[in-house]
Amino acid sequence: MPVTIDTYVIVSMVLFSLGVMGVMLRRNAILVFMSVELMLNATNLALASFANQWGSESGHLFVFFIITVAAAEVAVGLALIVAIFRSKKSINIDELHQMEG
Amino acid sequence: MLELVIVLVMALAIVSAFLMLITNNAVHSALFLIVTMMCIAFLFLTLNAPFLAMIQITVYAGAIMVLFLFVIMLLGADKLDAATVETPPERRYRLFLPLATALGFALIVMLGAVILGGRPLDREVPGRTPQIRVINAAPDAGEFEVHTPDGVLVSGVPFREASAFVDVPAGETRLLVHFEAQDRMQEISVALEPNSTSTLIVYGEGAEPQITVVADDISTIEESRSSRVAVFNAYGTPISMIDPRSEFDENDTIVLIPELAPGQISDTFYVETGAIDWTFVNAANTSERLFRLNEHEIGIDDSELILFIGEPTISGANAIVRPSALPIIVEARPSFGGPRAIGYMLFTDFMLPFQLLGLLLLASMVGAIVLTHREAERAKGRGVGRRRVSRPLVNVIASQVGHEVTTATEEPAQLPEKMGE
Repeated sequence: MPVTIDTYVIVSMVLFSLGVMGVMLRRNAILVFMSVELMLNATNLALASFANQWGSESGHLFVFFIITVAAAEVAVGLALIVAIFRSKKSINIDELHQMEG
Repeated sequence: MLELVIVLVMALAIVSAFLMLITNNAVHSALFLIVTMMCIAFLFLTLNAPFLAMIQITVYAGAIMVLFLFVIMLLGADKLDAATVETPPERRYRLFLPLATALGFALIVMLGAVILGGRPLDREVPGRTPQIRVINAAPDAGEFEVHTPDGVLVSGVPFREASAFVDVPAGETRLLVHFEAQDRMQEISVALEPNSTSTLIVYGEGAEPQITVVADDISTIEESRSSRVAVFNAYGTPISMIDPRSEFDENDTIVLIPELAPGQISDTFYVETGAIDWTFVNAANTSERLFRLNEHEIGIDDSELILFIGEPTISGANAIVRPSALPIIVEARPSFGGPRAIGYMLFTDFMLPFQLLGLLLLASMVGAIVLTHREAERAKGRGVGRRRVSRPLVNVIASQVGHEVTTATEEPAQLPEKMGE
């Protein structure tokens, strides 16, 4: 099977779905976070393959922005997790239901 | 061979993402995620995105994952999933079941559409719009405007200068040059291919300059530390270009361009960075030296068009036309997906998003500090209070009651009142 843009998009879709599964199934907040990162990575892969197909670098710029936003998100998210762990002594998202979630 | 490697790396990415999901140890999950990210960095390389591959490895697989691992180890959260409070599965997944079914179904439909339904993504990709620039190499032309059928393209280019590259629709285009001093129109018809760049040159001495359009190559230069040079003859007679090398040895010269007729452009050639001493000579009589590019510096990754022009020294009837060279230098296009290309776009088209991104990063820094600082302060206050009050109090109570008080009282807040009594 020749490697075309379709292959990259399919891989990206599979990785994204695995990330969604992780967000839904895992109970550990850090693992949920890592699954979100996996979804962002899958999106990056799709964007890079589209940029390559169209010969335009805008897609690369979007990937660059996503990576930067992911770094910011991880910094704040992990700070939140640490804060929650300090007060609740747990980061199991099933036990964090004070927001009635 | 490369395709096999790509497929293997894709498979590795998916397998390690799956292992990340199913393993119970959070540290193992993080390590599997790093493998996936490395695989994606390799896929970026195969997609002509070397800069993104570098960023993926340093920022994602490096910085972000270090942060993750640090927090996992700090909280001792590596086995938290196993110690979960048992929630009945039907309660855990009750809300997710219809959503997961719908999403899974959508995924299968989309995969099927991509695999079976031909190639919906494979469309005709349009090339880059052709671009043209205008060079004024006519000393006596005065002000002129270049029109397309749609309107003014370029105007007000002074002598010895070039305009920037402007977009022109692909295909057959009529370009009109309007000389304002003489109110004279001159027309030229050009066929522009997508992705091409060309130059409209207005040249020749006297009141009636000539115009021509030549193809101009500013594509990416593959050779390292070198520039691309082409020569255009805007002089009255055929010329030849030589590299004299040694001032004293006539036999040491190298002929770079044997003969270049007026109004012609030479082949492009690549020159290493450094100073050049090329000399233009009369093609008919090569001992007649016309002009020497004295210590002309060749840059890196430039596209240089050297126009050989005649420049009148005195205006008026008894003008003396002296040969001269006019180098027009532009930077060649940076390689696709490389750091220079990304940097250019960040500083031009994406300046505003880049600024907003900076603000967002600043806000997240402040957020991370505030979130952890407040918690730390509360914890610190509690710890200090307990240390100062409860440790001596236990001793005091033990000595008064007469036997050892091993466990601290349930409510340390009440202890000061007891001491007050």
